[in-house]
Amino acid sequence: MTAAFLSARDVSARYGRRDVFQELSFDLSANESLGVLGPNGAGKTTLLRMIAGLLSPSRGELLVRDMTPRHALARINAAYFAGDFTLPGSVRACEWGSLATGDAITPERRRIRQLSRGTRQLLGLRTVLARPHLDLVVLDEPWEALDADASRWLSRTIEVKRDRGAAVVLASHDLHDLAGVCDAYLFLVNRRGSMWKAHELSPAGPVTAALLADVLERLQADATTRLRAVS
Amino acid sequence: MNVIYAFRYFQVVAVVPPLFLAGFVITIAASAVTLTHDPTAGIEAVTPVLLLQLFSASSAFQIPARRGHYDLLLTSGTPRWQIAMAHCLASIMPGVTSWICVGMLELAASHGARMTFAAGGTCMAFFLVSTIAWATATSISRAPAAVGWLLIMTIPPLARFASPVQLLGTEVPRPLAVTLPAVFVIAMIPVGLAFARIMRGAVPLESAQ
Repeated sequence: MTAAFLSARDVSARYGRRDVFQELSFDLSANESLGVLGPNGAGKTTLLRMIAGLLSPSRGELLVRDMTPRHALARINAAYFAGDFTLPGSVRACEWGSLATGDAITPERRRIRQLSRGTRQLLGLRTVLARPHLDLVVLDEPWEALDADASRWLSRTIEVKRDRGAAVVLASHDLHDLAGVCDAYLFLVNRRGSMWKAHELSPAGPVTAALLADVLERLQADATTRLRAVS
Repeated sequence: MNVIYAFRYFQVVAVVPPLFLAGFVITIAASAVTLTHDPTAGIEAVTPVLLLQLFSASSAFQIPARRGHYDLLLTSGTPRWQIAMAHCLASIMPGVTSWICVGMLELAASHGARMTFAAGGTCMAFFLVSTIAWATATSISRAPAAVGWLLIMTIPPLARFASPVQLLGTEVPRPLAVTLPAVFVIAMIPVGLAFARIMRGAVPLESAQ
């Protein structure tokens, strides 16, 4: 059995008085990819920012290589991208692209705000994924706004990074994006998390979007039934 | 990744917008004209630079951080204290550079006879304005910070007590052994709190809360 690269134990998150999710527990090894699924507002972005060391759990313990994510970041190479809207619009694309490794990623001299949404998304992804060796890849809705070629490039790059030893965490509300791509799936529904390995979900073949939708629907139905029983 | 990377990051992301940089260039040009006509007008020449520095150094950290603009830096492994230091330096550098430029102009115009820019009170004013403006604006945006500074500068009782302009060209009150540590502490308390906020603070994404 491989030691967990990323380990969450009873992790909870809250903003003020609002609970986002409670008591999430899961492990992820290097060379593994985890897909985080859930409806809007389920806490996918919050969980990913915790893994990236930008937020701390309100309760529980989240460890990367047995260290808090913020300490681990000083010792590992990590890539985190939360979407094209996080890029500063006034910066020139070529300057932004050079921030990760110092190498030019694009000769494009236009400012980021002048680029199309898909081009901005691709610039952000190419910048964070530019480093040759990555230990942790955390991407929030990475396929959003990408065209077919860019989507294929992204899927291939994620696969390559994972095969070279990275632990990969991806979040999406579009089930088609994550179907068949991940080794494990974490469903965030009604403030609770359920994790399934891909082979547990579909022993016979690759995990399909229909299967993920079915599981998500059942979890949502279960949560509603539990809520009704409580009330 | 280290403080140099963080500093370069804040140059690319431009913590001081180009509009302020243009403002500094204009104040330097205006100072050159003023000092050419009257080499004794050191205080008049340095006042606009000090006022601009008040707003320029109020560069805000948390607002762009919560928009995700600093994600690449914050997840690069650069220690947070180095990020705070680089942000502070990048925020105050244009104002400090302009102050030095105006000082050089004053020296040139007066043939080395006058150094208002280097008077104890002027140095104290620039030190306090640069550090306190940066520190107090770390968790608010530039606009509310600017409103606060305008109120301090224009409401007479507040201005008499707290306006840094009145320090320009003066000597540091004696005894120095009391004044200098007191000024240092007054500046460093907000700076220390700002560093603590940046080092320990969570960075949620605005759109995810």
